[in-house]
Amino acid sequence: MNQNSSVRLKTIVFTVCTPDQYPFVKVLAESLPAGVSFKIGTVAGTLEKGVSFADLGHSEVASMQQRYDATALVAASKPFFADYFLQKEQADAIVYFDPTIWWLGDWSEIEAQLQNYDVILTPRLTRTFGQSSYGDEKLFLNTGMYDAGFWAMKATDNTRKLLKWWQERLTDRAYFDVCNGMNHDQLWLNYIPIYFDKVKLNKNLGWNVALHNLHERIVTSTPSGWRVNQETPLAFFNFKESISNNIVNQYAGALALQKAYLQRVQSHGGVPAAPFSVRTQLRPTVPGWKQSLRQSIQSMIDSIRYFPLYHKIDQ
Amino acid sequence: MTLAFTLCSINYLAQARTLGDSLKRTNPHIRFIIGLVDRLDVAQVPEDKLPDFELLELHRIGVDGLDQMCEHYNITELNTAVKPYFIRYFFEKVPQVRNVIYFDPDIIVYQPLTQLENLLEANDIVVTPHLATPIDDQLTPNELHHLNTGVYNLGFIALHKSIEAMEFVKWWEEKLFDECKIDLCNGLFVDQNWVNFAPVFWNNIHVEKHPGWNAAYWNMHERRFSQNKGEHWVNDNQPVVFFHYSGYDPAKPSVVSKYQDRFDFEKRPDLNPLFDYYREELLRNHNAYYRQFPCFYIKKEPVYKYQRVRQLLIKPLEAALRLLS
Repeated sequence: MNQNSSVRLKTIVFTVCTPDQYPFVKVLAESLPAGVSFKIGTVAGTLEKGVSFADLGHSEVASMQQRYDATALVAASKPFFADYFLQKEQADAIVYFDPTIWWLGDWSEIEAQLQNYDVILTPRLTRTFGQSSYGDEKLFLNTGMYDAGFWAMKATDNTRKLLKWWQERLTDRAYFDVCNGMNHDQLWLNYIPIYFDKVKLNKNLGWNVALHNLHERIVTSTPSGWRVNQETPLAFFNFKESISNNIVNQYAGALALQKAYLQRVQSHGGVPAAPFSVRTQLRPTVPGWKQSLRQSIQSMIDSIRYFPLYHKIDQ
Repeated sequence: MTLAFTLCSINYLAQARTLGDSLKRTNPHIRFIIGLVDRLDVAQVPEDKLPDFELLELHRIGVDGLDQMCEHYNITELNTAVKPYFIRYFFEKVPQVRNVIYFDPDIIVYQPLTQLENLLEANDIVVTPHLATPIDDQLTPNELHHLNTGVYNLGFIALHKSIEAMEFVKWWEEKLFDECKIDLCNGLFVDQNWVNFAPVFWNNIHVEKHPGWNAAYWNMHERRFSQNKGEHWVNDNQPVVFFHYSGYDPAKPSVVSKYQDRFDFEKRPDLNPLFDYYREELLRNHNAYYRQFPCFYIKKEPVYKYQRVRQLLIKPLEAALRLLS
């Protein structure tokens, strides 16, 4: 290791939320190691301790506020806040966490990776699986390969270009519209390892564990802390989707972790309404009888519509 | 040994021959095979119209469940779905194959593929992205389109025979058996969107951004072409290694590609030498003749009559569906 690689980076951690999500944010803030500088960005309202999106002074703020709902606005504002905090704090690096993340890991792992890379992303999955209770593999194809609930960047020319590029896209293309290539800010991440250099795809199973990858990551409590698949220390878990989906009940370890998490959230003023879940949007839970009735009506419609009366005759 | 192959039905044999001719000129050591998604015996192509290259018909590689695939795929879907099946056949059945390269039939290889063969010594899979740099306008195709259809272009893929590469090919086969469809709202775009997973599920993948590789209408914003001493160059000093003439039809020579609205030959006169050459090659290789053959595997589209009566019957059922949702 050369000397430069061990230089301490001044790192800012931030999240973006709506004011009602503050109890989540408090748990995140408490879980971070002492000495980490933590910032909060808010949209659709203000928080005493946060910076409001409207105050960033960006010329597109008004049109974005008109264009987007609160969920899309939270997503779209992330690269704007990142740029703002980096400049204001004169920081060397910045880490974004969703408000619903609980950090349990060793902070030096993030710092070590930022020494060697400009960008760290986590793939939402790491291995093929066919079908899980969350969904099948194609569900990830139009929602994004990499998770937008966490990313880390070092302040370099490379990432300044990245943030500018992302800001331009999210100004008017951060809707949830998977038929047209949009899943808020997340689908855009697919381009980052291609367009930009020094991007690390971190496949550590303990990073960014969440409902969509529980089928490949069994969470257990051990005397030495939470583990993933017995061995890997759990670095951080994102409860964004598991709070509102009972699929999590199938995973005892993750459920126990979530209970412990929600207790903490509760102690900060109650559990807020569950945030946006892409899975609930794309695969809503429907009672069995309704589903089968819908299927049989749909098949009647299809046979009326597509019953061929004769076939084309060759020229 | 490195084996290159393409896939097409008889109607695209002029393109496949043009690709084969170009490989023979630039890479004579590479064995080239045309994977034919069609039946020569049924089509009765006369002897003098058969290409000089090895032809391997789909029914000869032993695909389990081929009938089912033909049943629910159209010509584009079927031609793309069988790609991993052919790759596995080459790795498992053709002796001494170490590398397999797939090229779409509408590609011309202009240079030796030495750099690719070197990359395959160290990597299991090599792919090329649609875009290596951002595109700022919102004409067609733009960045959003590739987010729906796949960030890598699957008109080209190269693999080195290895455990990881075989794992990838088998996984891809399973996906394409019944999910090689165009259904953007459900994340499907033939064989291509699936390959977004390659660098996520496997580790030894190389993404090559050389502007002379897989140059095509989707990345012309970042690539300027020129001709010097009979060679094609891109961005001044890099050779065009292979150019992908996707969506070009020699019968409509003024259209760069039917899939885009960003460039024309007036705005981009630098494209003329590349496309003039391609047009001549296709005409020399009997494009018009091959175009008339229908694909053996594809059923005729049925015709649906009495639309108004059908609509009347469907109406109450659709109302019931709405009540249930």
